Amino acid sequence: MSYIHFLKSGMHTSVQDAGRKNCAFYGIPESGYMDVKSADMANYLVGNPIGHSLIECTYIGPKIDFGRNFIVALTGANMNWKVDGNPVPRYTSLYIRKGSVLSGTAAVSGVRSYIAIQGKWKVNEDFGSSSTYVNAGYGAFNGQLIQKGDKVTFDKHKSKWDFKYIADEERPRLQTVKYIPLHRGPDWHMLDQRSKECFIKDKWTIGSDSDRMAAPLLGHHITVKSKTTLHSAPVFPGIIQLPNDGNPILLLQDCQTTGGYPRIAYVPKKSLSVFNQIRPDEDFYFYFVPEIS
Amino acid sequence: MKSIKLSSYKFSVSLLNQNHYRLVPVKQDIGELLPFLAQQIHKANAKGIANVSATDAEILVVSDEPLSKHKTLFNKLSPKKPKSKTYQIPICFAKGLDWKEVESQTGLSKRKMINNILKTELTLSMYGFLPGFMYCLGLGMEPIKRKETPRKKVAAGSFAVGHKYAGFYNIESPAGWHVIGHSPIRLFDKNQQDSWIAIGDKINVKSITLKEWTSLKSQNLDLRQFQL
Repeated sequence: MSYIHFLKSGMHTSVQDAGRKNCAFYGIPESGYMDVKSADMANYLVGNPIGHSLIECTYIGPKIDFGRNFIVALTGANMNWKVDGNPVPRYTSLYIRKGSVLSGTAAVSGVRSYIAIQGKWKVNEDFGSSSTYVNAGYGAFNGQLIQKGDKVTFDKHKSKWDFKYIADEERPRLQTVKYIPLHRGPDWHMLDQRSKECFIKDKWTIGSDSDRMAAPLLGHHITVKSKTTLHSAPVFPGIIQLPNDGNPILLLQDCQTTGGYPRIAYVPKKSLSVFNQIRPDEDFYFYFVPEIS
Repeated sequence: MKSIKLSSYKFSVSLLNQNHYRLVPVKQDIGELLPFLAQQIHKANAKGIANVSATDAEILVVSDEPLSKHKTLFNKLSPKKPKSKTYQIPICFAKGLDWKEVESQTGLSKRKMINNILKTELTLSMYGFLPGFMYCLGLGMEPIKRKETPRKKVAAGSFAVGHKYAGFYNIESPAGWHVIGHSPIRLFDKNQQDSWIAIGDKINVKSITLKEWTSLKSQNLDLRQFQL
């Protein structure tokens, strides 16, 4: 049969694609892959178009039974992937036979893993996207995380085997991430001098309660020159907000569309792929890059 | 490009994140017009525009084309609202959770506040924050402070007040505003996008009893029956 069957769900496993376009006007977040670069590589390896649905795994990989022969690729975090108990490589096309079982463990590096599977997925879409957004129940599986027993079915198609791999030097370096580029945000000028300096001089970590909506940034208490109330304004994934308690928050794919806190800085879109693979026990630094206009 | 005109209004433009254009009105007194202008950009479905969002302070246009490519569209936006629709939305005030705080902040009794709300016509001012959250103006009250401690979860359909707005929570979510009622109908059905309330449309609130709420709720109605 043309399906895959989840024998174990993993930790926070969901279907994602390139996200929802043209919905922010109604307060609907973009959602979509947290690590676009790894996701694009996975789709490329199985011959699916860029932006296609795939499985995003977080911290702990699922266990999947394959109902027919499938072309599969694994990218992103290293979850010690095995097929029928034998280790399989990431960043290459894999031919998985009917009845085989793919399983992952806790991630040994990085946070998020991607499983691409060749073919057209029969999954629910809302506003043109299968991306799971749990809070509103949008996307595949009516916006719910993947549960044990769930099945994804596929349109009938003949597998096209075309071996591809990503050269070692082109794969994301999950363990050597230390520097995240940053642009000044519209309200950067509100910070006092000390806060501006320590934002880029000192090390940061990500709070363990980070999720697909936002990552609390731990390290320094950031203070403003004078407290002023701001009008609510549009925000987007990558924006760093400064709530009244002085602990910055980096907004991510499932973030709200407007907010009233100072938008002190933002991480450029491309670098969110890198940021979203940093683990809560890893230090990192920000550095400034100018916006080219 | 440092500035552009939407209709006849001048906006300063700054580029964020390669393709995110932040538009801020040069004159500050047109705030309430911004979501209305943004709605027209959104509905134009122009090539290259991936997202538009707005508040009464700023418009954000995500565009893969340079903003100058949209100049014709931007210049011809209308500052005048076309004929607006009016909706009569049933709300059960007995389902309010925060009446005590609202009464003590405003100094008005629950009965007086409900009467005020029933007498006024609300206008949808903008969407934002979370899917389908509706900011409505026209309460005719002093602005009200947010809750000291936000509620962790309120039901979809909750009717609340905060700042100068009345608001509708249209998905289950945390709430920083004071919930004073609940509507039993689906105001933001994901499968009925054509029926969603547009910026500038009017909302009359109709007070219903708990019994009526239960009956309407069981019928699982969407907005369409409630347009006047």
